[in-house]
Amino acid sequence: MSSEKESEDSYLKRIKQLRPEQLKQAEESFKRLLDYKTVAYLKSCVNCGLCADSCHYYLASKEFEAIPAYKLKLLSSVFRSFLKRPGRSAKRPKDDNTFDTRMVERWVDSLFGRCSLCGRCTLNCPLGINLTSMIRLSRTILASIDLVPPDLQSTVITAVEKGNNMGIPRVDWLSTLQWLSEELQIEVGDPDAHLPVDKMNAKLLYTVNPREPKFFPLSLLATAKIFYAAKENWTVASDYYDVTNYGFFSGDDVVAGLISSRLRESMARLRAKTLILGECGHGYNSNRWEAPEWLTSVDKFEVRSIIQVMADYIRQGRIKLDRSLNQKLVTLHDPCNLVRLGGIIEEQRYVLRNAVSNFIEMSPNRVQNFCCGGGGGQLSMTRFAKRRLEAGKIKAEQISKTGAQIVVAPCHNCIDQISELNREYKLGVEVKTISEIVADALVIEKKK
Amino acid sequence: MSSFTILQIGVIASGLFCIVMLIAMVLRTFAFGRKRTYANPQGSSFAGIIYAFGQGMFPWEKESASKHIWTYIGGTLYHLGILTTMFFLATVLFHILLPSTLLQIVRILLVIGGLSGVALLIKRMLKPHMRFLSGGDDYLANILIDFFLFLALASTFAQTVIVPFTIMAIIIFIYIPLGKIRHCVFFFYSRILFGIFFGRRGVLPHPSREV
Repeated sequence: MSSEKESEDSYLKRIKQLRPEQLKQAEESFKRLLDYKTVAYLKSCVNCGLCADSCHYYLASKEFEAIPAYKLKLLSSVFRSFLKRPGRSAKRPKDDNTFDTRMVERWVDSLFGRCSLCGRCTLNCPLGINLTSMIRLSRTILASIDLVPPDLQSTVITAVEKGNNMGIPRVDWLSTLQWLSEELQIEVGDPDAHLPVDKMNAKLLYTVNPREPKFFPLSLLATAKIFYAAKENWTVASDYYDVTNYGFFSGDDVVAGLISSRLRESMARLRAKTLILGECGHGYNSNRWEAPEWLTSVDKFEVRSIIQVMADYIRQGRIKLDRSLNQKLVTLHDPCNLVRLGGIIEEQRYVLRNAVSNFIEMSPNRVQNFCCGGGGGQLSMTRFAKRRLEAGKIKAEQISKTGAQIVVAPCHNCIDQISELNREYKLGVEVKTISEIVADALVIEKKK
Repeated sequence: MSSFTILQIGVIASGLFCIVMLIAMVLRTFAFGRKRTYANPQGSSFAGIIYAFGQGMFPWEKESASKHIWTYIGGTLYHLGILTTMFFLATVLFHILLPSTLLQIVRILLVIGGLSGVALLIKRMLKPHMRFLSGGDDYLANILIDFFLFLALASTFAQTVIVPFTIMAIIIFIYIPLGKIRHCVFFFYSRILFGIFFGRRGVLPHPSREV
């Protein structure tokens, strides 16, 4: 705790002690990152303020610094100040728009501290400004001068250095898989059942959130059980299997590209046909949509979510589900990066309607869902934890109104946040992945 | 050369200035470069653009509109009033006489549009979060346009107001590219980008509506 406090203090100190050349460097990064889209967005906002109510941070706190238009203004004012008077930038008198330490503090407070990059403001902006991409761009600028909040940055560093964001040693990963294979054999009554590792030419390379082997191994077991029931030709990699990418949240495109490139290395090494992304919202968005942009290359293989795979199994009759095995009332949380920013909208509903007896939608849902508050790296940034839980009140109310006993969230970050909301707001619900729900409903024919 | 001819030339010149400046602003954005998109699409960019300007403009598609329905209606009427003003300006400049029925419709649209503009201005002044967001440009643009609409309305009744109306038109055309009214072009620009973004990701248009 004290080391956390120390690193927080040193972070604030670093901001206060920013040198002019660092600020200049940030301005240069800003200029380098601009393209026709970002410049158009910076010129488009009319300050109508209608985005305010789309932001869970604003709805929960009513603090103006949370309004998405204000966040964009933080960027556009700096943009104007250094682009309108390029020759005078060094000599111009200081004003509110100058990119100085005070402005950096505002950026960090609003753009890291009051945003989960959920995209709800983007969807609801009357002008269609991609506020989410602009806020992420601001994080990229801050990352260029090493100003990612330290706890978020440490998660990124762990992923880069250890190959996964939880720092799980390879030996632990392999022994967890071995143990889960034994569990799977018991569950399905087949001594040959196992979780294949580094199998060459598999049809599917499955990637997981390292939280699963670390804290929720039964979630991984559930997916393995589904693959087993579908008689799938699949594998996991022994080295790079982490579906998450906190570089996406920190804004560091180089690191984000590096992390995503590793899954592609695993694909190439194992000559797998399709990259399957485990239940992780930002993992889906970053690996399906953003990684090709970071890596400036077109994926030669298909990148799919495990949810799409499960939906296919049901449609094709490859797995049999008994809804009566899931009797409790279930509701679904739509992870922003999977649904609003990812385009996986109906598959999870199709799967759940086949796997549970009682299903109720939250309101609003699908692309209009509210963020749980756990995205955007917020779960890593302990300095903003209080705000995160406050902002999650909107989701807690949504859940509470459904009267559901189980909340299904196809994203481990969402699961962590909803679990915290569960305690904070005394919701009294169980929180599960879709794989867990499907595995509970699986009808497996015992091997003769 | 009569004073009205000078004003006519002034309006046309300022209008051309406005168009040229707006085109230049759009072209200038392209000078910042274009990045190629690498991710394989899941949906159609074109369908997304069609959605952005069609279905996506309806209030039930956007919470920002459905939750603020009076602002949505007011904004729509305000913009309709502005378009009517531009239409009326053209008739004044080119000495086109409007049939009385059409003139009545123009008057109604100008009254409703002008009142909507004033209502939106009052909202901006009264709502604390709007005041927080607003700068001088936000107020000035609204006041100038409201004034423009009411001068147009007055011109439909009294010929003597036509001179201040056309002077106001010159001011407006010069102001458009300098302030927030440039969104008359950038609205289309960012909505196209919106359509492309959500369209290619297969997010919008989406057949299933929220339950």
